[in-house]
Amino acid sequence: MHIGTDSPVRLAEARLELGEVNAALALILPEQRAALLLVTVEGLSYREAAEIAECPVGTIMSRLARARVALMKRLGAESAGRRSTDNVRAQ
Amino acid sequence: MSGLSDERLVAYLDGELDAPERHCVAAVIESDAALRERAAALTESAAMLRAALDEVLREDVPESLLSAAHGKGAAVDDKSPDFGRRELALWARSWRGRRYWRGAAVAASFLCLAIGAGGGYFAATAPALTGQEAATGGAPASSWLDNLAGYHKLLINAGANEAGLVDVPANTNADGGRKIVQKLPADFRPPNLKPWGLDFIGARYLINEGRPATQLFYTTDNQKLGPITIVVASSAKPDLAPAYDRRDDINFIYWRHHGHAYALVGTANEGYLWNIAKDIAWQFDAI
Repeated sequence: MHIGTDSPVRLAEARLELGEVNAALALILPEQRAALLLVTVEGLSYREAAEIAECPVGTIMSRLARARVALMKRLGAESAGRRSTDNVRAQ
Repeated sequence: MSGLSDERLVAYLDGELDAPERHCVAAVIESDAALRERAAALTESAAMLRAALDEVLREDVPESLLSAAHGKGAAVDDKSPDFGRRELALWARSWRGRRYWRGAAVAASFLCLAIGAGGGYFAATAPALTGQEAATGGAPASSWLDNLAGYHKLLINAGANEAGLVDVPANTNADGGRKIVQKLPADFRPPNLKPWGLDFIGARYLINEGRPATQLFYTTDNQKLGPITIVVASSAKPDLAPAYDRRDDINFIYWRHHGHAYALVGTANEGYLWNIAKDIAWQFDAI
């Protein structure tokens, strides 16, 4: 996914994505959502997230996996076909 | 698809596996087309999450929002994050805050004391409510109201899923709301705003400006009134008479008393909020 351009089309798409993301996050359980935001958005390690959440790393791992799957299903259902899978190679 | 769990797959994608396990998982993915597709979808959705937020940060921010974020007269020398980004960040921060909440000497009666004291203060000053900021104490930090606006927008954006934001849901039995106040005396009740068409759905714990706070959620089918939140937080600032303010499209009536800050937050018009605030004050005073 190409980000960082200033084109109106891209900005409009970003707003759409933000709406989709907000809607998807609202459907994820709070503990799973927290793990997702701490690790995926804020970039914390599993260990750091576990310290904040005061739970074992394995619990964070489990919560995060469920959150990621839920996010994938939700966003995939709404945006299927809109994006490529280039990010797999990029990550 | 192989028996590789989502936990291990996601940990692999996040770079959280040690080298031997990473090589093992990589080999499994390499040999399984369905797994590759799942890994791609997981990566794509995470990238979409980050990209949506990053893109917002790059947007030009309206002058009005900058003014709100920096306060009147402040130099506009940088770009403030859009509330969309702010809301999502606050989600994480609020969760982090629970650690503080549990460990702090906020003690069992924090909310009770806060609401009880604040209600009396509000009631005492209600006749003088003019919407003007009281000279004593000064205005609250701009970021405090900005944060509350962000938290409130979370509730708005959640729509029909607002219950997902609630840490402590309202009890639906005759003792509605009792669960929220497990740390409070048994006679405490969240304000009853049903006459205003507002239903209490629960509460969540927040950290705002480094201090613990409780946000009470009320929802309604009345689109003009919209959802309402009441925030009670500890505060080291001087007392402040009730006042009105606005951030973006969110209205506030806020005040401080005896070490606690209060805010009624909503999209309803100012006059309507004042009336609801007076009702809340009357109910707090009756506790």
